[in-house]
Amino acid sequence: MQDDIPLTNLQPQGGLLRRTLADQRVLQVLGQILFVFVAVGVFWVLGNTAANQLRDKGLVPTFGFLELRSGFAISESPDWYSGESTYGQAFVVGLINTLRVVSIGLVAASVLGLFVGVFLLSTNWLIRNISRAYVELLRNTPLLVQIFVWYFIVMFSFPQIRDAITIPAEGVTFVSLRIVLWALLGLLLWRYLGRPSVDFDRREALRYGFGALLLVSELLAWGHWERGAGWPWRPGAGLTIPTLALMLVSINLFLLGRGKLLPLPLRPRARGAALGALAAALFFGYGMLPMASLRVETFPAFFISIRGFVMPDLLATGRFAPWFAYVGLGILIAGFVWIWLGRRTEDTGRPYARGRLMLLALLVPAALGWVLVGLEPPPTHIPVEQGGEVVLQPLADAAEAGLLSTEDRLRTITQPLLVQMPSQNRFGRFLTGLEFTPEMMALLIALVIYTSAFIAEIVRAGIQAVPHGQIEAGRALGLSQAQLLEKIVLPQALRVIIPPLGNQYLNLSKNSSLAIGIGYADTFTTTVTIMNQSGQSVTGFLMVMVTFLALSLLISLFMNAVNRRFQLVTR
Amino acid sequence: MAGRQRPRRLDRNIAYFDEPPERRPPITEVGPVAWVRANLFGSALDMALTLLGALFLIGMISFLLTWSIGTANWYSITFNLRLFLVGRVEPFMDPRITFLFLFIAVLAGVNFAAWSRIHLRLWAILAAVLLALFIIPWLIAGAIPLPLTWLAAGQREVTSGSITASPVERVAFIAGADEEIVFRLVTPADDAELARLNSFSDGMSNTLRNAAANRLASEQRLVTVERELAGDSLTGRQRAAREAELENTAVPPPVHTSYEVGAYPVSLILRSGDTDAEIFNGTIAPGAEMRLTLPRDGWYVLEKRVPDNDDSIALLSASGLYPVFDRSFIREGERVFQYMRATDRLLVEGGRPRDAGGADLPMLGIIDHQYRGERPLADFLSLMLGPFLDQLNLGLALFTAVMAAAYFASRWLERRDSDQEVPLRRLRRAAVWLWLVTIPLAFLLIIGVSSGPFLTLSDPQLWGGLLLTLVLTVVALVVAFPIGILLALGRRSTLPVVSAASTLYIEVFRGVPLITLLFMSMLLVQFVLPSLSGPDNAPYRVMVALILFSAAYLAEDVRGGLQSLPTGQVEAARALGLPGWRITLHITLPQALRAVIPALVGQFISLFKDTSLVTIVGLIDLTGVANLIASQTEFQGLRRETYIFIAIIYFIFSSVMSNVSRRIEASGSGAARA
Repeated sequence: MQDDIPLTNLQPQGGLLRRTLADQRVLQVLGQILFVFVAVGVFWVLGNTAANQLRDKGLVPTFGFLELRSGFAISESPDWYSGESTYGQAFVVGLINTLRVVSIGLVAASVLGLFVGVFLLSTNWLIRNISRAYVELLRNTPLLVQIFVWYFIVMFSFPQIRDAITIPAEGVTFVSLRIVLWALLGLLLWRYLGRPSVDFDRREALRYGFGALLLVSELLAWGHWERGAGWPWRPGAGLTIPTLALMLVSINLFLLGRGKLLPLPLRPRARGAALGALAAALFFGYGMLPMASLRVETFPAFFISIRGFVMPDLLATGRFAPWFAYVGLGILIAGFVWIWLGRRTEDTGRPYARGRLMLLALLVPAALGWVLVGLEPPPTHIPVEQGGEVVLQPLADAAEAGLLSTEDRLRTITQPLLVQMPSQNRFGRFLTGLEFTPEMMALLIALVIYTSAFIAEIVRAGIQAVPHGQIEAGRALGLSQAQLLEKIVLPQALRVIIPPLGNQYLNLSKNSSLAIGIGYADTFTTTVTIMNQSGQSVTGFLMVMVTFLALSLLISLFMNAVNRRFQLVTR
Repeated sequence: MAGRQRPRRLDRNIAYFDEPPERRPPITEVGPVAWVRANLFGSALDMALTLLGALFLIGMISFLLTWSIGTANWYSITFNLRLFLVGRVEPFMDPRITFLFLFIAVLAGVNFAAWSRIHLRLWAILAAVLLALFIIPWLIAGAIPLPLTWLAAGQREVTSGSITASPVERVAFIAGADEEIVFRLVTPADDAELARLNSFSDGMSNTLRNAAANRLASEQRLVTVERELAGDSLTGRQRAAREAELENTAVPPPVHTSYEVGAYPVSLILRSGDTDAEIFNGTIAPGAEMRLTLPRDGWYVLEKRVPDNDDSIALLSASGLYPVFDRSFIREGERVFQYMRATDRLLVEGGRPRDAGGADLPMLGIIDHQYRGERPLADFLSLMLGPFLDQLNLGLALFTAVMAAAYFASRWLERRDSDQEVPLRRLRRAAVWLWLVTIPLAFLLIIGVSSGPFLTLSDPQLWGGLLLTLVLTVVALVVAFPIGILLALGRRSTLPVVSAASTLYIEVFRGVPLITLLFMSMLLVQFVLPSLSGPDNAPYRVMVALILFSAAYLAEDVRGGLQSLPTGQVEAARALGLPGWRITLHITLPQALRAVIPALVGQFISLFKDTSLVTIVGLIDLTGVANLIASQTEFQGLRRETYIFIAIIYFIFSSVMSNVSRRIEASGSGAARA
């Protein structure tokens, strides 16, 4: 210990100037002033050079050019945009396109990432390793290369619009009525077997009986179908060779199930299977097995071709607004029910089926509204153009003749919403339906899949961060798997997941600017076009930077709010 | 058995002692069966997932295999390997880059010796793999003959769809000295056989092949349509379309009879390409074969004719005639034409043979003379895999050998004086010094210093491929690192102005997409720093953007490291009376930097991937090369092959780096010492 140093030695010595200079606070202020001077000086010199250069080239930055005519078309733009619109409007179109990709992308990437993240922890070796390979492959290759692959390889390998891949494919499927029967029977059996009072023998007998009934009936039906409806295979032919043989076999099997030759657990199964097969043979023999099938014609709803994706469009008709008022009412009631029942539970300690009641409160007004809105009859006549002049025609006739435009249909239809299927003209161009360009699909798919790999790792880490004892304790309390996930694992995992998830959301929104690599008209691509045409690069970059900073800020604010909520709930 | 008779009614309800309790045999709990049961078929859901996963995997693998063996054109890779690796750098750079490559091998060897152990078994495996890289091409070359080439002789035009192939009587090709060419006449019995002639083929025989295949397909299609119309599985719209199709399609007559494809005597004349002197003149009869031995390397011209029949076409198969790539470039002010044989890279320089009028004779160029149709495995091995491995093996072997030498030498030196206080201390110091030497050395070798013969300045515009990708990544990281440290210190500073300025910088650069910065560097940096304008300086301008960008990210990494330090460290230093800058320099920074090594490696990986964006601003990095090749005439549109190849390169580098980062993290050498 050096306590013999007099304290006075530590005080600054000398005159005022020297003392002032030795004061750390003064030094700090001086240092900062110097820093500002240097920074401003450097910026001033660089900015001056740039300003001079720009002035020499006649490119003084202004915002006035935003009012000028843009003169370029954008393949993916709303109706109000054309080459006659201004640069400002072009920029807005780009902004809308960015927001479209980012908003769809965030949701899809989260869902996909959640699934892959859970698969990464699967007990199934194959699934676990496939998802591990998925994550590693996607994380370790550049996003731009992935976008190129999706665009130049996948999108370009789709067929021409004439031979577009259609989902469902156009054609005819036969739905056997027996399938409906089996499904119903199976459901009933499943509900019955779920009861705790059913003992082993009965359960096994019923299971095997149902299995045998299904199998043998289908075999007989297959024989009928394969061999034609000749005598032995005709349903309702009574006791024929196949049915007789089956009955003999099943009677023997039943006797075997009664005897002691088989091991104990196999006996009820044998008895059940025998009865099932016997029933199948009798049903078939006496024509009680439904052999008919429904002929269902399917027409395409989704088209995938080299020109992009087309899907059915959901349009709001003229009656949407009044219906939406009913829906709004439902939302209000549901919110009220939710809060009121929550209070009741807190006051009385009685649990209520809050979720179900809320759903009911949502659905009943919506359904009621749907019916009430549709009560008003549509106009009987409608003006249509025919041979160059407008004439009033009965609505049904006009609809049959295909004279109604989309606007007419939206005005006259009695439902509040209209699902419009895609339709093509003779040259394959789509007249109706929601179209997505291949550029947008490639960008969206690449962004979603790339980000999902990172989200999957975050989800995996989050779930692994929940101590295993918590899960075991939950099991010990008798929670079901779903309850365990909802009440124990997820709240704690989300606390770990949300902060890095926010980072990935920011990355996705920034990465959407790679659209320029494949020419999707997002904010950045349109701005680069604007800059190339108008020469206003400084202003253009400023606009892009502000846009992306604002987008980042928005996402950060949202994620911070979510984060606060989860931290509060768990602590 | 009379003694065991019991009343029937009681049988169900009474348990008898003489009946042993029956239980299921226990489930096997060890061995592969148990493993499969636990890991693949645990429950019904598991079973479904396993089946789906297996189906997906099998489909994926079989698709990739059939595509890459059967149809992919890997010439786009094997012929452009140099472009992928170093771009278009000048030839004088080759020894410098090789030296750098081997120096990095030394660096790797010393570092392995200093920080980890490579087991002898691993060295053995590496050696075996490298040996295989030499043996496999040798085996392939020895065991699998190269595919044949189909040539058509005749005076008729052949049409398939909208394509018409005109007869070619004289065709030029390149071949080497002492090579043997074997001709045979082929007689396809029907169209099916004609459609199966998959190999290198000239325009006429390929058009014949296509015509036959199309005819078979349309025949097949009609059968299908008729069967569909007979059934009831069509909607009304489909039925109308099918009926119209049936009405409008007419199957053409069989190709092999309508063109009279058959075995006719063909007269063959072989001339030297330079002197036009006749080397051979003769007629090949059906069933016979003809062997010609060539005198020297260079151009030859083959004349083929069906002498006394103008309407017939004869098909010849030839071994020894292979397609040619042509390149032309300026060397010392003169345009040089190079021709290279696709199968074995036989190179011929100089002019092509011309006809009497002075026009170039048609040659077996790779564009018209590609491998047609599905490739069998043998042809894939002999044409694609063998040549590819042949180009790769020497470099990899050298690298591994040098690395092994450095590894064992440094271990031997280390063991020689084992009386050091801290084991490995000297070796580790040496390894760090080697790192510090490598980076400036690399820049010196790549950029050059003078315009004289020694270390000539290289043209940055010509850097490309993996070289450019790595240069950009390393420069961005190395230069940005000190800036990042300053920014991190600035952000944690108590001085409000400094802290605010640093925070503003970091947040702005992290909030803006890199591609914006790259465009900005291309468009705006020239206004701010006029010395960086012009296309020559494009890589430097891009570097500016990458440096500014990664400085912000590195600053956040370093800040994380600084925050992870226990406060006691700083307090103790303050108690010792150290001034602030010395605390930072000697106490906090060294520990913080050690803690952020894994984050730095992560930053390196993401920067390595992000450099691919420079493609968009026109630089030819690894991704840019893939695009560039797809725009070459020979490889037009071959993006699948190139993208898959670069994806593999990116994947290998990134996963090796992330493995290293994981090992550093696991070894705990990154952790702060409390």
